[in-house]
Parts: sequence; C-alpha cells; structure tokens
Amino acid sequence: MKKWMKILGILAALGVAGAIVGYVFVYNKSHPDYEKKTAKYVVSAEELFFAFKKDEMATSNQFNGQLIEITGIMNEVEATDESRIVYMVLGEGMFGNEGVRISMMASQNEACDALSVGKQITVKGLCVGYNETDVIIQHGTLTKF
Amino acid sequence: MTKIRIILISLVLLSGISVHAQKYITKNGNIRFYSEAPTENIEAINKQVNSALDLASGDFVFRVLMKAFEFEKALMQEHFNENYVESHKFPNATFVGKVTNISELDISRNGLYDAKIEGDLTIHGVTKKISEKGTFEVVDGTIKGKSVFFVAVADYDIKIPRAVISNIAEKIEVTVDVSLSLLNN
Repeated sequence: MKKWMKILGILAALGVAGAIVGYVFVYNKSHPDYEKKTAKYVVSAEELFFAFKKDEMATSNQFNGQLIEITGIMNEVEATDESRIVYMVLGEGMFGNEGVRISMMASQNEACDALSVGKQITVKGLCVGYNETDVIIQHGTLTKF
Repeated sequence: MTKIRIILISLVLLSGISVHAQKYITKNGNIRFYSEAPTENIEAINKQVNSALDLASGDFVFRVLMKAFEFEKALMQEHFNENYVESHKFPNATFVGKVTNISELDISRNGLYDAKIEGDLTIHGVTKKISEKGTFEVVDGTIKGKSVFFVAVADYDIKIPRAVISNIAEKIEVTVDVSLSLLNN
C-alpha cells in the first residue's frame, strides 16, 4: 500500500513539474531575440525584391519567417510613434514607391535618425512576406551603416 | 495578376490623369484583432497594412500580410500562422470595395464624416461580401479612417481544434485605423 502511494506521489509530482515546464517553456515561451540571433540568409535588397516579384510563392517559401541580412541603399527613414521604418526603394507602382520596408526595433531609433539618404547599409530582420508592393521586414537591427 | 491589382490598374485607366490628385494611400495602416473567450483573451496587431482610397470613385482597398500580425505570446503567433490562417498558403488578406457615400466626404473641410463601406473581404482564401460602418476624419488634407466590426471565424473556413475551442471567440473584433495621405506622383 505504501509503495503504491509512493508511486502515485511521484507521478503527481511529475505531472505538476510537466505542467510548470509546459506553461513556462511552451505556452509562455518568449519571442526570439532577433537582435542576437544569427541571420539564416544574406542577400541584397535587389535580389530579395525581384525574387518576390518574379515568383512570390517560391520566394515566400524560402524567406518568410526567416531572419535575413539585407544590404541596400537607404532611401527613406519614416518615423512612427514608437520606432522607425527604413525604406530601400527599388521601383515605382500604384502605391508610389516599391521596395524593401524594414520596421526597425525601437532600440535602433537613434542610429536610424542619424542615417544619411543614399548610403549603403546592412540590416538584419525577420522577413514576413511581400504585399505586391513591398517586401516587409520586421524587428530590424542595423549591422553595417 | 490578382484581383486587387486589376482593380487598381482600372482605377488609374478609367480616372485619367487626375487620378493621383484623388488617391490617398498608406503603407502603415493598423489592424488589430481581439478575441474574448472564457479561457483567455487574445490580441494581435499589424502595423504595416496597405490601403488606398480613390476619392472620385469611392474605391477602397486593403492588403494585409497575415505574418505581420504580432502577438504577445510567441506560441499564439505560431498557432495563428501555421494552424488557423495557414499564412504559408494564404499570405495576404484583402478587402476590395467601395465607400458608398464618398460624395459626402469633403477633403477641403476638416471634420468627422460617417462612412458606409461595402465590398469583398478575403481571408484564408475565402471571400465574403461585407457591409460595415466607420468614420473618416479629415485633418489638414489627410484622412483618418476608423472602423470596428466583427468577423466570424467559421465564415472563412478557419478550423479551431476542439481542444482549444474555449480559447478563441466565435466572432473576432477587428479594429481598422488608417491615416491616408495624398499620393504624390
């Protein structure tokens, strides 16, 4: 009897430990640290933009959800309330300019504000896709500028 | 060529050279959704929504990258993209419609205007006709558009597993907030 109680106690403890691990490491797991993570792909803004224009599905399958490092000419920095959007313009369409739009992390505000238009920069960020106008990158950080 | 692109080209061709003087756009529109359910409340926001409004015709379009929705919890974001909206198969949601009372909007006068919006909303590859209300606020030549409406998950063939059905509302509240500026080209 005592042996069974011991086994039940151990199983209950394992169950509680499993629930805690599940809550902390699965349900409540944090977003990746995009600033520290290494990029999976290194591409130029032109290569990325024209690859999406040429074959959206194949390029989406390769790059969407991946951390990539993009090098290109910075044409605009747009300020929003909390952060900055760096724009590498590569064409023109019905929504005006088209290219690679990178939503930067708030920690990059000061560095972005100091960028000069026309300068070549390299940015690391998460590719989330192409909206038929721009390639959209999130969580951007400047790596060379 | 997608439907949204055909409509935009048609806007340009049919409206002639004056079209740019009447087209207002944003690439930084906000769409937030909120699910209130017994087990938990879930919220996500997309701050990179494309939208265009033609003041002459009332044509109003949105293009929303599903993967650009950001959630507080990483697991929710994964489930949303991989299991529910299947953003690898259906990367964009679109709205293609009209502001049916566009003639009431006077861009030269600051103020708040009611908006009646009708059109096709496509999510998860399923298109449904919707008719919603919102407001346009004209502030010194820019147009701030706002609308809050509900979307039934089942209408768009989004399947929620029985195990988590109490975690997600049957109808999701969608809040649209865009600041449209004159397209200068």
